[in-house]
Amino acid sequence: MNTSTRNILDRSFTALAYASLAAMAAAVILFLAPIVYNGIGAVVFNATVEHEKFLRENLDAELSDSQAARIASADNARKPLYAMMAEYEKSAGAAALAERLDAVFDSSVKSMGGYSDKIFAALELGGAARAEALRRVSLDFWKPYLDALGAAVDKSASDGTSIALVEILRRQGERLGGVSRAEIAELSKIKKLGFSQKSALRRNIGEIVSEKIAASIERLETQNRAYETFRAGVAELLGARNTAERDNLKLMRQKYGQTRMDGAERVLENSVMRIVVYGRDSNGAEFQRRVDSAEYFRGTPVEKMVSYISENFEKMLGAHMTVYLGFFTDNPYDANIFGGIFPMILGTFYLTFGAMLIAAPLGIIAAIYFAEYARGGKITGILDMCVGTLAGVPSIVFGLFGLAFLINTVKISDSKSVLAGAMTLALLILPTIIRSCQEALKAVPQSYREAALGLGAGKWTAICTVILPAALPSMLTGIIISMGRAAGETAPIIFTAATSTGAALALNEIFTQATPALPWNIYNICSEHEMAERVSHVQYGMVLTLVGIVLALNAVAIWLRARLQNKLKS
Amino acid sequence: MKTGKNLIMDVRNCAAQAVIAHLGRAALLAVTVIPTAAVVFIIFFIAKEALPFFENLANVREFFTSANWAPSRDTDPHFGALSIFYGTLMVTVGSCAVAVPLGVLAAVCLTEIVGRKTAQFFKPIVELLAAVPSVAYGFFAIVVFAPILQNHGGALIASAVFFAGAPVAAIVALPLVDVLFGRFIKNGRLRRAVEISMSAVAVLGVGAVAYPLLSLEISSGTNALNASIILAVMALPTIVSISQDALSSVGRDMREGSLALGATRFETVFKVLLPCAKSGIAVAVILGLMRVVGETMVVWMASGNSLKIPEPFYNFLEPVRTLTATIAGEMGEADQSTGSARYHVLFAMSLCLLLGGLFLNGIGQWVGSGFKSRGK
Amino acid sequence: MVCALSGIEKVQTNTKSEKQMTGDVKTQSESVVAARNFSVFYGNFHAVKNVDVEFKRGKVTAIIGPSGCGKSTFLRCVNRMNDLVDGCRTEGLLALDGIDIYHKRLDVVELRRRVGMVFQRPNPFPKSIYDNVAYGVRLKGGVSKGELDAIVETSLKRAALWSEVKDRLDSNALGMSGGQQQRLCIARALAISPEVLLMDEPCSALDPKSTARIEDLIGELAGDYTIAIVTHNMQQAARVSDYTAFFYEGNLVEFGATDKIFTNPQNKATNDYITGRFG
Repeated sequence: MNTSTRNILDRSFTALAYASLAAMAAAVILFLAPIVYNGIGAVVFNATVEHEKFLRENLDAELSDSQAARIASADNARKPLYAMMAEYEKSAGAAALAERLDAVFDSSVKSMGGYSDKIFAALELGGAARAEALRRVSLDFWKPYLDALGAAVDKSASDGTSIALVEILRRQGERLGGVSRAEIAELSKIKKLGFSQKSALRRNIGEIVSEKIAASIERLETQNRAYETFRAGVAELLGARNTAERDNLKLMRQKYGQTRMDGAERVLENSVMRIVVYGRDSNGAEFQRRVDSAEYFRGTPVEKMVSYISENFEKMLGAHMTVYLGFFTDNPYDANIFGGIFPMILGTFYLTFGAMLIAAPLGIIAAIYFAEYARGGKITGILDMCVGTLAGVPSIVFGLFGLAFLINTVKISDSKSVLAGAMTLALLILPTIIRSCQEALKAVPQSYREAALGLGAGKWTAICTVILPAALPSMLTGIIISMGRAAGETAPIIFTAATSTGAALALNEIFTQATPALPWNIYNICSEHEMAERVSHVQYGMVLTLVGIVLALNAVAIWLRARLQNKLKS
Repeated sequence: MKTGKNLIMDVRNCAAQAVIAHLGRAALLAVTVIPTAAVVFIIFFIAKEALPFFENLANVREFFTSANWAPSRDTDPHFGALSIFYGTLMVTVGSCAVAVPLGVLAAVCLTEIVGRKTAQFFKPIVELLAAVPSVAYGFFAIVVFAPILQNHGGALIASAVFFAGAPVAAIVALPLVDVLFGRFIKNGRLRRAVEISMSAVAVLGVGAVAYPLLSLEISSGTNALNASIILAVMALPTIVSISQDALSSVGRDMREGSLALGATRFETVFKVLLPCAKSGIAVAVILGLMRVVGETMVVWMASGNSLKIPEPFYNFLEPVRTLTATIAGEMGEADQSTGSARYHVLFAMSLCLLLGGLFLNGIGQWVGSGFKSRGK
Repeated sequence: MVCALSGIEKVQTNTKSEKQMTGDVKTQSESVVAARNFSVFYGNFHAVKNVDVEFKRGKVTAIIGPSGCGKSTFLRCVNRMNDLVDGCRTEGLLALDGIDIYHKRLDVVELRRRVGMVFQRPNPFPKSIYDNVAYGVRLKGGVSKGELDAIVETSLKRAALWSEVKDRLDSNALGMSGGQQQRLCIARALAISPEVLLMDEPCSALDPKSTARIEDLIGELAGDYTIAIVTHNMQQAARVSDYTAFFYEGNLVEFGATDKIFTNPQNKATNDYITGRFG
């Protein structure tokens, strides 16, 4: 190869190597950036008044004057909307409409007597001709009613009577049966009717009306269902309308609207401004489609509500930036949709410190044995190899071992418990702790040992008074890094300690109870939560908290190590 | 003559002291035995719970040869774990394909190319990658990366192939020109022209391979590729830091000797350093491999958990399922009914996993001991 | 002789009767440490060969010889520091005040309290100056705070360090200069009032000025303590010691009063060494 080729090769190789470093740095940034950005969003966010309402009513939070004022102004902004909705749902014109329709119904029924000749004539006919004739006659005397009904249904959307009209029509539909019986009796007085004639009459006289009523109800209900969907959207956005309604509701997510503006905007977009409506196509098959609310409800009172909401969106929610530190100290409510992640943090704390309290003394002692007492030999070799082997056991196997041994065999607790989890984690981090403590002890200069022994210290005294204190900072470094590992491990605690729901444990419960813990709940909330979208901020918040805890522990360790190095330099 | 304690202890004192010393030593030894006991207990208990499954030979046959996995059915359950083994193999191979070249290259760069300061700067980055909990990686895989992969997967893969492949192709093309035409073309300028055009052709070739990938449709963002990439990021710090140790333990004299003979850095790295550090790098790769094989959360969350063997078998865009994910996902439903076939088959799986881990670990220690003793 | 002595606690160490002594060793002064036919092995390596030597009470004995001649090994046997070395064993007799140092029931801790040691490189603990000096005293216990303060002060004064450190007793000992650190190590050894002070090339890691101070210090301490100093530096041996032992390849070649050894060595090897022909 000539020199220039070799140089080009060399340079391209260098560039490639730099690119690998860049890729690594990019991986860190690409990973951390979304988690940090969105994770901070769990604590610092654009909140709505629903957030404060939730805090006040469930966590006894004291509200400042400005917050109270904001809630009041938001409530005020909602009043016109709620008034519109109440008016629509109550249907102010319903009573008059019912009266009018009933009157027409009655007069139509009465007018039937005037058609008796035609009816008798029709009854003389046979088969299909008779039914057809009867239909035509009934159409005549029902005409005023059918006209009135059609007009009422057509108008119902625009005057907001569709809800009441359904009730009126149902009632009238029920009346039909009774009506025909009375009328047939009346007609029978005029002319004796045979059984088949009577039944044909009964069948045909009200049929056209009940068909019409059924169709009208169907149409009205489609309309009403759309309103219901809209109303549910508003409830999702704003929560319960008043305290009375709130107290009747069970789920937190029904009681309160959106606590965050990002969520509120999503709900506004997906459930209020656009809604899903159901309908039937020409073949009678049901279908659903998304429609624009304003378009769909055009010309009805609901259209006004839609435009009111879109105009007063921010006012009704009282948008404001807030810092919710309670995220770390509050319990979660309603599957993490509300509140904080305190039990998970506490659980992680218990597990981590539990594991550390078990593993650190054992690890230090074993390291002392290896570094100060072991004298080569086969047994030491085997012991040492097993430390390496234990480090190579996959973490999920530790979990199964915890299940099979600690819980099913030794039965240190009836089922999962913090204790079992901490012991499993302790086993997991033990090799790392032993290795790092061994290194730390090896790094203590031999001259310290000689000096201590030369001054009349026994071996154990020398270890306790000189060697351990000298090795301590670098031992701590290893132990703290192991703690970080224990805090983040998920697989070993799945079967031994973690539960997805549950309250924060008191200290005396850790021997018997399972606990929520950050790693497990992160898995749970992003793989098995039914409303992943609503808890997205909690997901990120949890991950950032966990990553923050682990990285903070590592930072402490790095700081300790740096301090140690400086000390050794000077 | 000094007064005070007698230098010679009486017999009783002496015996007491010896006993105390021995007891103390024994107490320390008792604690030191814990890891060993733990290894024995782990193997024993996992094997014990796995044994009922292995007693039935028909089951064992099915376990390793069939992909029909239906362990929870009351009647006619099936325990074919072939697709699960294959899924494990797939993400392992996939992540190693990404992590090993990248990691070794980064280690070479950190020890041989950049200065001390830059290397110091990258140390915390590597440590940070190592410290991040696996569930956080899993979260990233499923919440952030999977949607991106699903929606822009084609563009992503195409650009990755192009930007990683093009320089490699160019580097390969250059010596190729030399080997093929070196003897015939003596003219420097002509030769340079041929070199440049060949490199350009190679880069265009990579481009031609990458271009059709642009229009790739990915049906699900949680698939073998996603899991492999995230696992690669997780294995990277292990590979980088241990390779770094291996490379820096190669003496200065080797390096200087090679450079003094007029070798370029590239040649020094490939012909001297990597061969010298190869057992250390092998240990790095094995430890990285162990982290990948034993990893649970990332594959559980990111691999899609499908029981099908992808078609064709190298299709990384299909969801797969691994041993660890199966154990984690199904044990929760199986452990209430301790003693059920499902419980035992999951333990059988973890026994395979454990033995695989121990095997890798053994190789690692064996290779590592060779590397250490040679280092001395 | 070894067999005969092994069970006996008191050993008569009569200096007159030994043959290998160079002429007129002052036999009337009492010997504190005495070696008789003493050998040290590292595995199969015979490091110190059948040595007969003694350290006189209140005198400074210098041990000189080329590197690897076994002088440090011998010194480290006197407080059984070689116990730390795997595969090290001894033969013959080494006695402190007539008591066999390698007696199987010997209280090693007590021995090391009586035989202090200062090492080649200053090795203060990473603790405060005060704690360094108090370390040995505290181990024994039964000392009040006031007594401890007094012991620390006296020891530091004896080590000629008091005036330099009295205002910063609480600062870390690792912050001191090398010479100060070595004097601190001497103070630390003096604090438990040993009979014998072993110094293993105490000045080899120090600059000339610090070396001079340590040498002065040795001169001041002689009389109160029996001092044995291993050194490479012939001038140093000549300056500070009363007796000198010359080791060569594990053998004690010559032992006698320092002025005799340096002015009129009996052995040719000694002569070659002190005149700088080898070593």
